[in-house]
Amino acid sequence: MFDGNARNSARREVCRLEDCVLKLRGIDKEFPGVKALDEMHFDLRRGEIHALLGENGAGKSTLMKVLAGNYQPDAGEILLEGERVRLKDAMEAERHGISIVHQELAVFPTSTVGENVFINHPPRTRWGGIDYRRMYREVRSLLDQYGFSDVNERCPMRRLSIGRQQIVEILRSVKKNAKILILDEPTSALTEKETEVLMQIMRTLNAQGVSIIYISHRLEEVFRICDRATVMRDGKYVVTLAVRETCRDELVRHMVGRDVVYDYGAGTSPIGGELLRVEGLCYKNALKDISFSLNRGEVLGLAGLEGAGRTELLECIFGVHPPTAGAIYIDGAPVSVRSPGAAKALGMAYITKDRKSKGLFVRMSIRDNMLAANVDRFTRRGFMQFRAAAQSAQEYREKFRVKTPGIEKKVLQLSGGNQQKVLMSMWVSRHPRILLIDEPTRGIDVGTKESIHALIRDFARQGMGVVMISSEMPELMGAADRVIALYEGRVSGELPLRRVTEERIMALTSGLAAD
Amino acid sequence: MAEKTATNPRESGVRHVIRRIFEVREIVILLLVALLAVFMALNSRQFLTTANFRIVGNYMATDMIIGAFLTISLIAGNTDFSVGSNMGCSAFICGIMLNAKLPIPLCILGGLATGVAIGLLNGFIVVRLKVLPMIATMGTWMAFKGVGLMAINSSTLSNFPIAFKAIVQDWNVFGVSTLIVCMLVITLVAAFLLKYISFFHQAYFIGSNRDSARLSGINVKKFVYALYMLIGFFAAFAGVLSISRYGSAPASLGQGVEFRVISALLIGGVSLNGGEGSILGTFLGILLMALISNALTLFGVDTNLQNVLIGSIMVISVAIDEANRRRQG
Repeated sequence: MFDGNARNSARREVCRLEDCVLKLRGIDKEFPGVKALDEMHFDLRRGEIHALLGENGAGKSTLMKVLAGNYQPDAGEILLEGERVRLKDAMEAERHGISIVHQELAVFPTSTVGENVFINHPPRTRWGGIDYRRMYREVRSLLDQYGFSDVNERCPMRRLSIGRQQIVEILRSVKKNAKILILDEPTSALTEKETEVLMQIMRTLNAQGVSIIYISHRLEEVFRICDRATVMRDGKYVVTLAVRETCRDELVRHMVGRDVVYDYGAGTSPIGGELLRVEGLCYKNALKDISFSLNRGEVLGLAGLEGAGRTELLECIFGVHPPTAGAIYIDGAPVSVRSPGAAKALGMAYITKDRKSKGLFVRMSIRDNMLAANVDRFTRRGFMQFRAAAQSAQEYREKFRVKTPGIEKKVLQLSGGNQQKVLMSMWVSRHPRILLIDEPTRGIDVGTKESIHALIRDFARQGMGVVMISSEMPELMGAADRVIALYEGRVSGELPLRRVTEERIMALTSGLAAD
Repeated sequence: MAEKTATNPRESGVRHVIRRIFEVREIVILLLVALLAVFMALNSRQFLTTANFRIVGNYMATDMIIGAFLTISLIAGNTDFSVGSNMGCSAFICGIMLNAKLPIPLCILGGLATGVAIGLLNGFIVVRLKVLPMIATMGTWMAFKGVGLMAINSSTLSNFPIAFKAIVQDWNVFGVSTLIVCMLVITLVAAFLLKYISFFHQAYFIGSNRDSARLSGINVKKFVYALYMLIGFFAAFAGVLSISRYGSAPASLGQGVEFRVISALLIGGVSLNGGEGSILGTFLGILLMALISNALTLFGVDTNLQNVLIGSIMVISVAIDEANRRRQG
């Protein structure tokens, strides 16, 4: 198996080829406009738990999708047990013993727990039917073995908590006799107790010789369970360290450490009086007693992990969800926002992160998109003002430098960055006073990022207030005049411009008290 | 997806033009209609007569009166299967009122009000109870079929006042019957509303992406209610005109109309997924169906062949659409 003249694998790896179950070399993956993976390296030793770390958008999930056969790399090679393989699809990866538990659940909610464990290869009876008795018996013993004697194997999946469902998914991989198990942020939805159980399962599997790649934002867990950690940043390999020999600060430094300082003009516009104030806002279980205010000319950054309630907060303010408690004030006067239409009338604009599914009308032309978001503005005595909409679309196309042959082009045919510009123009052309924007540059290349932030800063300079959600630290640091952090539906802290650092934001968004 | 279209090799001029023609449904259907009309004109003496035009026009009229606003609703993604039962039920109510010797305008209003009420109920089920339009209106379709038949004891209503029958049988504008005039007016008005009036033009936005429309501040609920009520109104209107035309209300009135109209809409380029379609397309689809029926009658062919043809054309035209869509990404 060992290939004597293995090419120079020297970098900072501490792994000889024969110890490696898996080795990735020089993996490149490019999506339109974004280089997601750039000469990425990774190796996994037999029977280790290896953490893969990096900020949002660093390319961790992309790398794992390459490994699970979901994506094909543009360049580079994958070596399994020293042999070069091509994983043309997920089935192929599975045959090689690679099993992945995705960040998003991939379960069948109406099927039973047992059926979910045996989704692909249920035991058969002599006549070829599914042998339910054997299936449930095996699942039962599996559940008992891992300490879930209280989970009924015949219970529909959807009745289980999210955490339990995740664990069933992991058991599915166990049943497939995976040699390499990839866990992509399994604990983000788990309670502390469930996390504990998960750790236990990982240790058991590990003891049975399964190698595990573990992606998590929670460094504490990494220190508790992992042997080594690989850090990646901007799709590139940064470093691999033995967890025992490093510390939290060093890992964070590698994750965030960056040569380029992003400057999107934070602190460069004059800040006026209060524009928007939110008091004691609650929404179901997602938001708990949220209060903050936004001033004229200010870009307020909203930090938080996925699921901390960031998007829900903006959608409550914009009238998409009715808040269960709390009040919203504009210019000091209480307002009632019952629908997006009402929010619009109050001078608010909301730019969703789900550009394609909830923001744009992708099958329509740029002009029609402009029209759709502004039906009220382009209606005179009941008549649609097509020409005015076309003029407005044309004007903003030039102003925002949207790269397109014309405003009759379908939005679908534009790149992500240009789509974002179109979406922004649809809303900004209304001259709103409050701009709520969720992940303004998700999936957008660096150059366009800058121009989008220039636009945002421009609105602020005109006295508009902006609330901006971002998962990217450099974006918050470079663009926000002030940052508030959310953790599990609550405001966990507020940082004025001169106190905004990546470490502080990270601490606040992961529920640790700020210093 | 964006790259795919960009890397599409440039086609030669003629092929490109042909391709583009096949992308516009109205043109394809218009070609089919023209082809059929020319064929008919060459092979049947009766085809190009005023009497025959009247037959075709009357055949189309109720379908088109119902189909006009149904098109707008379907563009927004909301189907309505209850139109056939609504048409029957409302007409029966009108007929019962007529037989009770109530004033004719009141009877007509009673029929129309029934239609609007059924539409309102559809709107309520879809908007408030959040039942999928297809299921909601299949429910009301069945229910009101039953209600209508119960109201008339499954028998045929007749003996309507002469003045009521005169509305369709005698009234005319320059020799064109009430039925055809109503169809043309409603078609033109609906086409105008859909194209130029914001409230109706919103159908395209709602159908294209409902979530985006909602976040854009479009009042989707109001639209859905309004359209179901309008459809209800016009289904009832078609029903009232029908019983005036026949002078009686047979128990089978309106049955099967919903599927005939919706298949004509699909032929005309409306998509059940919403976002696409036009009144012109619907008109051509219904015209095509009427012409096929007319042709089969004139040639004395088994008229059941009509269903075979309509079904086939519908499937083929939707398949062409899907192919176009896949190619565009």
